[in-house]
Amino acid sequence: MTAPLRAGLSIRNMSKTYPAQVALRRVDLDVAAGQVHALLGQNGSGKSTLIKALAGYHRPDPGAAAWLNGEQFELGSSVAAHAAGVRFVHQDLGLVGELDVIDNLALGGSFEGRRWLSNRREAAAARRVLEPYGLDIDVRMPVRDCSPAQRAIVAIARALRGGLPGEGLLVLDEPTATLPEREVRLLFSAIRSICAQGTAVLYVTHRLGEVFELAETVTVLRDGVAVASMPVAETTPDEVVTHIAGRALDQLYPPAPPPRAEIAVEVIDLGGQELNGVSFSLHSGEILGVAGITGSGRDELNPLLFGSAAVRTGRVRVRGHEHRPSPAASIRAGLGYLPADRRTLSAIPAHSVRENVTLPALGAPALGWLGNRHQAADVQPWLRRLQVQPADPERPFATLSGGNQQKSVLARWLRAGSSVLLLDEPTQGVDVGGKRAIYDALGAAARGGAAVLMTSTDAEELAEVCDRVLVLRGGRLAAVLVGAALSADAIVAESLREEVPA
Amino acid sequence: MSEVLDPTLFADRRDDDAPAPTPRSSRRAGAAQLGRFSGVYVLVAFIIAYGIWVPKTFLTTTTLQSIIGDQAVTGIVTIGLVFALSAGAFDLSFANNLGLSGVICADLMLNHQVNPALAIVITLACGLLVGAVNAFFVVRVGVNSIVVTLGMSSVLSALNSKLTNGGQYLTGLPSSFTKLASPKPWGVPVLALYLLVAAVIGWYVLEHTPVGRRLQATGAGAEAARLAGVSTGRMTLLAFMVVGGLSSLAGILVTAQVGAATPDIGSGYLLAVFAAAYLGTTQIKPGRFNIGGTILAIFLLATGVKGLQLGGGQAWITDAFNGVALILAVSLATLGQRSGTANPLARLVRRRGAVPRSEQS
Repeated sequence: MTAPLRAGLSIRNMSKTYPAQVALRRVDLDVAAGQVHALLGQNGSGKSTLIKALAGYHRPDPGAAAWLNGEQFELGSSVAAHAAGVRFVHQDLGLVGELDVIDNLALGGSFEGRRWLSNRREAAAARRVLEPYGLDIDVRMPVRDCSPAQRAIVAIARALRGGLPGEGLLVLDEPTATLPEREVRLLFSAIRSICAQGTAVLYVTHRLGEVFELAETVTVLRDGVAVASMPVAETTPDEVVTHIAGRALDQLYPPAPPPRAEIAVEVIDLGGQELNGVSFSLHSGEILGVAGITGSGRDELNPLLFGSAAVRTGRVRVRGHEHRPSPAASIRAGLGYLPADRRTLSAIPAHSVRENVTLPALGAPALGWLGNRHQAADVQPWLRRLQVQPADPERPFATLSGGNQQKSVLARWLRAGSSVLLLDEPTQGVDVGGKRAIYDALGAAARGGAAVLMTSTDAEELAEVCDRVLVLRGGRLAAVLVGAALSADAIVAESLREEVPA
Repeated sequence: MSEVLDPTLFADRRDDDAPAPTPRSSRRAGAAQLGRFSGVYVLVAFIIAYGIWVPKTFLTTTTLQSIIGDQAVTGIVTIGLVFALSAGAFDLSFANNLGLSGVICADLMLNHQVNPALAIVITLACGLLVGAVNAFFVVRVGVNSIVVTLGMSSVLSALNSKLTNGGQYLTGLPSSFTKLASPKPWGVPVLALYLLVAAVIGWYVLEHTPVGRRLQATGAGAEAARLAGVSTGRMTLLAFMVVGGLSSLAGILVTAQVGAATPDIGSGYLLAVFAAAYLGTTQIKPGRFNIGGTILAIFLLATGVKGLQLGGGQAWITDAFNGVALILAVSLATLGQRSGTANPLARLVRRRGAVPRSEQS
């Protein structure tokens, strides 16, 4: 074990084990004072766990230690982390849109003044706080009306306020995820000015281009392990991508089923909030993957097709018929949707598995009799087929594990006779065994003639499970990867490509 | 009510087939730990206690008939409210809808010489309209149902006051109308038979038809229900119209029973009905609004109140009893839903040390 840094953050031997999985495995990390250190990795690689452990939201497994500027502080305690000088700006920034800049800066500790809060003095104090970041805005403006970069800077200024010029650590969790390109420059110059004062910055991102523009050092996490840590000057985007995607392919993935000629869904010039004029065809018997970073339109595609988000432009044809998306019409047309948010969208947690599985196809006229026993007998074979454990239709949905919840929702749509399955992150938070069962179920459905459209943040999964992968970038279809061109590296590279400076 | 909390009052949970692999966790969701029929034990306890305390007045046919007859009207409105609450629609206007309906019906017969049958039809139409208007603001405009029905409640009260010149009784109703509530075939008040019919239909529709299933899905998770193809807006409309129509029917029946339209009769139902509906969620199908549990809850509350009245309690005892029962019932339902432990009270004490839900990156 190397000695902790004298100036900056050092973490040694940080592990975090959850009941079903190991999220972090003996991670060491050094963030030097006055530098930007980028932290990269796919979703599920352990980035958020590491940040949350640092923030004191999670307590890491025993044996972990952390130092800031040579002083050790307790991990797993938000108070200790704060006292040591660790500050966080999370992705959602934590600002209140209705309040003005002054009040947002004052959240979590008001400005000077004992009894009387003077508006004028507060405004002056707020301007002083923002000045070092080169941000000259009307501090009485509601934060809602600020530009995204201004909001990010206000959040950073608040985190560092009353603070630690020349010391401490600032953790930025994907601050640019929702920022337009030109706004990013503004934020970067603010970050550079913070570093110039000696603050260490840990910068979590998905965007490769930013790493090479802003950071001095980069660490890549994969499956909870820090697989690489190196100076940015000594590496290349290709090398970093290789580290992110990894190569370890085990027996997890079944072969992708071959597509048929028949077109199940034809999408023409589809557009919504994020998505902007995307066209493609989904064939019967095919598992089509969709990749893209957050904000690329990936998360919007299935809601648009299923009709739970508003279609702005374009047309959808299902088996040759014009389709006007709405959930009820989609179900009639043979579409089934598995949303990423299991807690609130894909099922009703308090109701039984039987009720959740039968809900879209109750099999009786509106006022016809529904017998619970009869329905349970109807549902059970489907639960068995999808290896739902336990195959008990009367169990409350909420008591199933993540993988079994996903399998139950798949059972719902297969039972309803859906021939087009729209899936968002079907294996998110599912353990390895559960993943395999889901892949097998999808493969069986596809070989039976169903068309499967699957979005995922796991490039490796898409590369292995799918026959074809669409990569979205900035709301447009950036690439279609198929055959030899289809690999996890290619998916990651295409997802991020424009961000990498030429 | 303390008996309800007794964790030893377990009841077995029926499993159709397939042995439940882990009984502990399959019992977990819902307030199974209260015992699905614990209300029956409490009811029996009430009867025994009052039977010993005031045997001369309590253990009589008159008391039985009075409980059954009085609660019929409450029961019919409560079934309506159970439909609304199942769909996630909170209706505060049903009580004034009930009161106004009695007034409208009597006013039509007395001041406009409308025959009773037509008066009843018009009144029911008004009740359904109230539900439809509530639903319009909730579904189409997107206003919170508590706010809409609170406002509606005030509007209905104003109309009531206008029609009765500031709250005067409308008396002298035709006997062909009051006959609606007076017969006692085989000694059973006819109102109780109406309640029986309403309860059977309500149970069938809410618990054993696709409509009922979609209604419950709407209340338990509107967005998930919509993604499963349920027209949640239509379900909310239906729910508001059921409670509107049944409140109106209850208003007509109570007017026939009393023989006069009493303008301020509605407000007395507000609390009792909510208390019964929520207490009902701890019974028979724990964690759900259900008809059987609701009927059990109604008679449980009514028996409790009746005994106290016969034992010499003052008029305020009813309000106090129903108020306490409402808070207790909702508390039990809430604890039951969250609780993984056998005893909701233990859970209450332990709640402070809750662990943050596990999150993975």
